Amino acid sequence: MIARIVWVLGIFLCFLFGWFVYVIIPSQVLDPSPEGEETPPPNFGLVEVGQQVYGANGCSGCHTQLVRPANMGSDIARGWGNRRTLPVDYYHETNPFLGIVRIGPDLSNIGKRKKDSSWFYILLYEPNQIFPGTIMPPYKYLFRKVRAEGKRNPQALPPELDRTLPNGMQIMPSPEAVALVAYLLSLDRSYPTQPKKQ
Amino acid sequence: MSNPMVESQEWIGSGVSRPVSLDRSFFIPVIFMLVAAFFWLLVSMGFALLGAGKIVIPSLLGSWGWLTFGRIGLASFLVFSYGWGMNGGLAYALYLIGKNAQEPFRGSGYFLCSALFWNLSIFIGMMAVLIGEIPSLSWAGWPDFVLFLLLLNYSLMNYWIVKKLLVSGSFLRSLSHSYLLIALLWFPWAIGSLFIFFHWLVIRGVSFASMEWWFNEGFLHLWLAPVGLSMLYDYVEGRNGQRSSSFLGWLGLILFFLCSNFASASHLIGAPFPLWIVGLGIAARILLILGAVAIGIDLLQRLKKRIQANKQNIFSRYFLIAFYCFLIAIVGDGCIAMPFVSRLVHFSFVEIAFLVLFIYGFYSFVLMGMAHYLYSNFFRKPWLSETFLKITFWTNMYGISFLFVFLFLGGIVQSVELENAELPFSQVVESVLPYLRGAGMSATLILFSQLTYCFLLLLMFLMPVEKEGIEKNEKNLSRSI
Amino acid sequence: MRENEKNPQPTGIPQPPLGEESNRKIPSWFWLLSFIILSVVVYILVFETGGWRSSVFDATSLFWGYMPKEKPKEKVLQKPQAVAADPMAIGQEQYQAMCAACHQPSGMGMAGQYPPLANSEYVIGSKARLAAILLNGLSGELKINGQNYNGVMPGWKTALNDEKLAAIMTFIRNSWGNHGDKVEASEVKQFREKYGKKEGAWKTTELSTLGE
Repeated sequence: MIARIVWVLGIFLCFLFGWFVYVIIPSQVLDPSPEGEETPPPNFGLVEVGQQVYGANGCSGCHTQLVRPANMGSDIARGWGNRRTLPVDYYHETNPFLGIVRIGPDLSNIGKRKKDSSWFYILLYEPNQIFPGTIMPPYKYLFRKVRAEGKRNPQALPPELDRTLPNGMQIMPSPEAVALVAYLLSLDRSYPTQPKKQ
Repeated sequence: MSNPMVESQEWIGSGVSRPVSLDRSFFIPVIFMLVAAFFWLLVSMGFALLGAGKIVIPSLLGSWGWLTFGRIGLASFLVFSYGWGMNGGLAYALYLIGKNAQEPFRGSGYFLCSALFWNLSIFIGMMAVLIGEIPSLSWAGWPDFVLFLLLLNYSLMNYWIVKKLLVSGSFLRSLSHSYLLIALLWFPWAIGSLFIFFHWLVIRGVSFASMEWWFNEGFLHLWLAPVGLSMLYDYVEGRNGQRSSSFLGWLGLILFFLCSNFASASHLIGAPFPLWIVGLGIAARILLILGAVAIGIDLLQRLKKRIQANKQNIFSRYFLIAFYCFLIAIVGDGCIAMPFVSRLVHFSFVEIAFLVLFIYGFYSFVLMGMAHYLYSNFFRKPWLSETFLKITFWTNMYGISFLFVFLFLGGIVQSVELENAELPFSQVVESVLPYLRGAGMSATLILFSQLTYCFLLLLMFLMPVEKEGIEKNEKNLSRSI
Repeated sequence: MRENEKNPQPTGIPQPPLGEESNRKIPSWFWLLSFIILSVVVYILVFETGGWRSSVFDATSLFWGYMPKEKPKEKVLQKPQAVAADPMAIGQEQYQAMCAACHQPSGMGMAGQYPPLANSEYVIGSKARLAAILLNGLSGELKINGQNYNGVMPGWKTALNDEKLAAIMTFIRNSWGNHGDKVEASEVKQFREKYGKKEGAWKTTELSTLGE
């Protein structure tokens, strides 16, 4: 009987210990609230909505959002970031999309590399247009075809993208696409920061 | 009291000559879970195939948001793990308890009912993922209300099993019971804490990632692996005479169990985590190799003896392959966790290859062997077509081998080319593409194999049962369900 | 394994169980392997975990990957050159990164959700009030150019330094048809001292109390 109790208690203690080390301790020590004048900008409004769109469409299945230090990979040499990412970079995110596999490039600093929202809209609508032969699937369901009233909307996509587009119509990003692009444009983790000294 | 798996049939087997004595009150839920498991397996492979199709033609079915690559990938993954893996594992758990039970299963109706709701919650979860309710991208990818449903139904189903295990105390003597107990106790604990964290958003920032990996690692090494190992040990323990303990077996169990709790952080290398977290993870993962080797030596000695003592049959083939896949996957995982390797292969398909080998080559193979054994016992009649069984086995076998090899080679190419910073990323993907297509073909092969088996099962269900077989072999403890 | 698969015949007469003695053999290489693995594990835990401190993220030891020192320095040298001296240019860059998601690159905002900056009294008007909003954020009902808005704007005092805030203010006060004067970093510094201690965002009802 005692052996049984000891055994079951041992099992639970192990569970508890692993859980404590990887869930509780990180949430205590890796959550330094940003101090000083150059910390990550808050996530809110469109950016926050865009982050949910990013998650809901499984973008992080192919794209990572972390830059490894120069001695642990070629991320910095590739120009994916100017420094490794640190806990403070993800401070405002409820679930950071670190990612699991790199089928697409890292997006930690995509807002630094590409600043043109129409580039993102074209990429989402027809990735082949920007990277011929890419395996990124098109996200056409994030766009709507609407009647052009008067002049062309500045946000509308170039009409050459869809040959079958009837006259007088234009391709407009849906609110989700607008939010997603706002989120992608906000991804810039290149501000200088130091690991907080204890 | 039990005489499991000492059947001496030909390798495909035409029925079970000396069947396991399992009361109907156990068998009905077991078979229900197994049928559900195979249903989910087909669903998951269907999604996987669609995903593979999207790699060849990216715009395939692209106009529907709910079939986009990211969502079906996750849906396939979750349905495979929870629908196929857990349904099958729980069926086995019930079988293991029922095998030694002295009385009929009184909670049979409750179990069936909660099993039904368990599968319903998986379905709800799958739909939620498809419409985009994704909190994260891993085994924890369910929305919080689905987590709660899963926890509830799991507890209802397993309360009785765990109670039985604890009261009988057999886990102190038998490795198979011990492994099973670990798995059964881990899940409610982990998914319960996950539910609390998701629902009240207690964990945020990078600690979310560490929690996610803690859960993933636990699901692989504290749920799937113990259940799979428990099946292997149940097979080798077979007769009561072999149930006595062996030093290596217990050493392996303790090492494997201890280290699995800490190995998750090796996936976080290069991520924004302090060195000690990553270092602890890597150390645990290397120690895990030792555990796996200890288990391996012990199991191999017993498996050899077991297979020598009996004729080759389909179960022993599945089990043997599963056993080797287990060893390769754990040792491989340990090797690619070393920083000088992981600086290359981290985030590449090499990691995915070992993952696939673990969850398909190891867990699914051992589960398929077990399922085939249980079905044979249930039907009590010769399998309709040996050719079909052979096709199932060999296509499965070749499917997983090719899948692993393609993913592994593709991953090597990807890691080597990624290291060359001058090469644009689009070119890296282009050179990996042929391998991904090859992997897609292999997945098709696996789907084909499962379809064959399910078709055969359907035929077996539809064919009338031979009455004499039942009367002669079944030891009915109670007629009532 | 291969042999067994290819050979469906029984490999011998079924033997009676041999007992447990044959199970107990532990090959000697297992002890060697255990020793090697245990030493590696102890080495990692003792020497490669950054002294178990949570502030240590990087190591350049051989285990974690050796890094030549020259390369990162070049990058550091390049960086200051890239920074433009023109406050309008800095302001535009910062605006695109931080503000354009809601207020839009056109400065027109989004109808009903995010108020416009173009031709907005809060932007062209008092510098102190604008700085206070930028530093701490703003929440509540707001009426701009005849349209009602009710949202939350976060504060930026922890995200942007004085120079950047001044550049953004200069930029938004002089774009999209706005004409305002330049804002200096030293002014922002004063505003930060004055308003920066407040916790949370301003309420729109407090707006009238802000500024000169």
